[in-house]
Amino acid sequence: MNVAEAQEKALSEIDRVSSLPELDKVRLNYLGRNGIVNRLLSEIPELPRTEDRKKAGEIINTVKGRIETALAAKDQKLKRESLKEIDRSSFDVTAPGLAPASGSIHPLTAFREFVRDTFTKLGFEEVYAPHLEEDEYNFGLLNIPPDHPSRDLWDTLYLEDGRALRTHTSNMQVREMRNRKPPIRVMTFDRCFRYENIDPHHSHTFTQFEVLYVDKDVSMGQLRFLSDLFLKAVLGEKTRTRFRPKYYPFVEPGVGVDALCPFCEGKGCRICGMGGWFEIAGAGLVHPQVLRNGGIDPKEYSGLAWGFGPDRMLMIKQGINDIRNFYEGDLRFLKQF
Amino acid sequence: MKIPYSWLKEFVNLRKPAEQIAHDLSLAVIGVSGVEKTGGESVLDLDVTYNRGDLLSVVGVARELAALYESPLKGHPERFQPATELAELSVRSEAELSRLYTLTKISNLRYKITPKPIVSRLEMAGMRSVNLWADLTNYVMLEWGQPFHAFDVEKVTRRDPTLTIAVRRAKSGETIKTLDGLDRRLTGEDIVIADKAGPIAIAGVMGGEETEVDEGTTEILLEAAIFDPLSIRRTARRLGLRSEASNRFEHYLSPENLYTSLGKILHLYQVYGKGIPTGFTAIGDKITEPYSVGLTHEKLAQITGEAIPLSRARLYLERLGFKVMASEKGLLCWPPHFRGDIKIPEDAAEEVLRMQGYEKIPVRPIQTVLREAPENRLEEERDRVTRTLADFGFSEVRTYPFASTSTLTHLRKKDLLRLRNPISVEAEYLRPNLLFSLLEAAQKNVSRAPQGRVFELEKAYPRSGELLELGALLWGEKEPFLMLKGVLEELGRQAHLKLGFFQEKNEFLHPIQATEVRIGKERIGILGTVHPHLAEAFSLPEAAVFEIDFEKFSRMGQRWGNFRPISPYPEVLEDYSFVLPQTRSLAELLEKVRSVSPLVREVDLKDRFETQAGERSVTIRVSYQSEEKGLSSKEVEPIRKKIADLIRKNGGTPRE
Repeated sequence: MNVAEAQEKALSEIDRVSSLPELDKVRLNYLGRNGIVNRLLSEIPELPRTEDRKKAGEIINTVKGRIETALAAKDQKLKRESLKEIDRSSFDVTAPGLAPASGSIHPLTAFREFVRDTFTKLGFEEVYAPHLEEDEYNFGLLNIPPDHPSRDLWDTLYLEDGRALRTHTSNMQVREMRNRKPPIRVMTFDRCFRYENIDPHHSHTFTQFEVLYVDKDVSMGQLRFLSDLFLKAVLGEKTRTRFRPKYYPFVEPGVGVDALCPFCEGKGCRICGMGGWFEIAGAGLVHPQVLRNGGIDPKEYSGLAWGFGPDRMLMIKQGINDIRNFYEGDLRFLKQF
Repeated sequence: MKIPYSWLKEFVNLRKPAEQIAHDLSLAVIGVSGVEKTGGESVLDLDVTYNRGDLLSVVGVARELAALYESPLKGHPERFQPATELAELSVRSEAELSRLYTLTKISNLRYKITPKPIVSRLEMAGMRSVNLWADLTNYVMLEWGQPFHAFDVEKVTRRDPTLTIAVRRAKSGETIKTLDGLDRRLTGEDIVIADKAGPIAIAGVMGGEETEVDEGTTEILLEAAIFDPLSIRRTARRLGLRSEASNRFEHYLSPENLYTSLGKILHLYQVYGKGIPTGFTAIGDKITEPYSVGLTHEKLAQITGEAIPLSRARLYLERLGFKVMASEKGLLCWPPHFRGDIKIPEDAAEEVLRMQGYEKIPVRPIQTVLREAPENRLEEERDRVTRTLADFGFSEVRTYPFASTSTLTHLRKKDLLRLRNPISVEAEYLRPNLLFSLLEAAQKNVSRAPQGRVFELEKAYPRSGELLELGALLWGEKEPFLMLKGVLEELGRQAHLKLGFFQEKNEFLHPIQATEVRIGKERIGILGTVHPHLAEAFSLPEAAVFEIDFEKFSRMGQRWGNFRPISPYPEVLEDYSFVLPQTRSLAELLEKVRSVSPLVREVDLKDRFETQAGERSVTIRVSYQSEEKGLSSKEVEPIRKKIADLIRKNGGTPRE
């Protein structure tokens, strides 16, 4: 092929192509490393006369320039056309996205993070206590001696070696008091166990959250502050709380904390059992004997303990009707969180 | 405790409806689980707690309402004053067994059927009518909280003509036929009432059949006592005989209340049965030793969070029956005899608060010095790992702590912690690991989810001690072992930990695809394909699992890794493809290639497939880079040769 033919052929091929990939092929064919133009250039040294070689080089480079210009023009044209093509195309943007393989975080874990963050802001530190616990820490040091009738409040599961499956997170109280110096601000969110048959509202395995605060002049007023603050964070700004007398051997005074039903705002509905209020937490000022058991002088310091059952609170908050949902691993439940 | 509303009205003027009374009680006194309507009468159901034994009586609740509504208590009978001419009875008792033991002989009884109103009140309170003599004891017990027991004098005399009564410990092995017709075997811990022929009642728990009162009874010995609460509790529990009476004996009872209720019951025996007291003996404390509790202004203010005037506190306490005196520091409070629960200043303060109304407690912010909060790596790692696994498609489960029966068949019971009082066979042993909980969770879902991923971060309870474990299981995916291994490696990488995997045998895992996981030399857990038999037992397709000690993992994990600057010079990439038998370690080979020269920047597994001959074909990509200059092919050449040699020496056969 001579130079003129190459030029003519190239320009007509460029003219004919109708897509960018085709155009690339043409470019490669003529201007690529082993393309026609390079081949023609490589034939130049074979010409006998210097003048001819010089002339041929000029001609071929001119042709190369023309081909490049034509390619660039065509490239622009095709790109413009493809934009118009896009304008004419259709695509259903409402079709669901391609889902990544996503798992789920258990609602109690998500709740735990929320609760922990709320109290961390108040300077509470997360602590842990054994699930398999000495009778002393679970009961005795909390003013609940063996055989004492107040033990009827807890239906306890025992190991053969005499240890208890802790019935509440309060087993952390004396442990933490013995390990720290006031002011003490600790919290725990963990599992507890009771001798209880499983049904939609009861479970032998459940969760508790509890805070312990020991300082100078700790009062029922502060207990009120904590209750309001937390229950508003969980149940919404409209929530109100109230105290009722309640007996726990390790606090005095002891109170039950009720929250105004967030669904009916106290009018009484099916969810709150028509009462308008939910019993949601238990609390009180740490009994002086428990402080002493923890190595703290009740003349100098006082303390408060405040706790609630996250399972029940979540059930109320999310309208979950069966506590077993939390513990039986059904993905149809878990994947909703 | 169930209390008919009309009964309360006998002792205090009440104008509000029963529901309102219940509401007020629950906010200031004691929990009320409901108000029932029975035959036109409202019955309040109270949840009496241990500290308030005084509320196990109509009068006790009436006293609280009287204080709450500032209304006088009425219908209060006189304390029983035994007439001096009453005959002395032969009774023996010890303070250790019974703080106060009284017997009253009532003679001249004429039987009548129990009047309707009494029967109906007993029934509303949840008791049934037996006969007049027994009904009156129950009636006064419900009203005053003091239990009674009546013996038929004639029947006792038949056994022991001397009528010599003793309160004593049972002899081990001694038996008694109780009112319910059963023979009861006693232990040295039990307290009995005995005549010379043997026990006639298990104290505070149940009377003997042989001396039971009936319609023919004309003379009774009426017992009113305060027994040792713990002993009564132990006996009643052991014999499975917890009753209204034994329940009250477990709580605090006062001598004063005993005498007042005795006055009431003797009055009723006279009105309904024509009985007159002819003998009386009392052994023990006849009054409560008065004691006082000091309540200072400062204490009250500290507990409340606000200063309450002492004059107001005094008023509240007096309404509740306390005797109060002003002292230098505050108030001296003598609790009424029926309030055995008031012992310390805090107890008195609680009384003031609840009378004032808990709604009046002010809101007091917690103000305190900020302290350095120690880093909590466990929580940080817990959050991070949970989130990462969820992002990787794992659903978090939280399962029961027990080894269910379907998992027990795979475990050795002697390796497990057993409960002394299991709820059921499904909750008899504690789980030694999370593996089986995960298998069960997978089994529950597999029919709907042929492939799935779950994890749990909770405690397991091997005999050696409770452990916080992280376990993950995936099933129904291709190459589950490598899939899950990749997940665990990534968890490690994010914590800047290099995990080591060493093949080991594990009875629950695949015979070959099973590894121990280590950080450095420390074993942290296992990773492997679930043993095919185990997978089948839980209806699962091929599955893989890992379980690691999460406390170790989080303790060793680092928040920050090492940084290496990015080289300004281009990298040279080269691929090596070769066949490597499954018997040779790819990890070891990669490690060797990595350390062949400082110019080797990274070595990645680029591709891996099984050839038609069933061999493992591998392509690795090596990147060479210098931080000082651009590399020429010539400089890479010697490394290239070393790598090719390494591949051959480690069992690889180059392809192409």
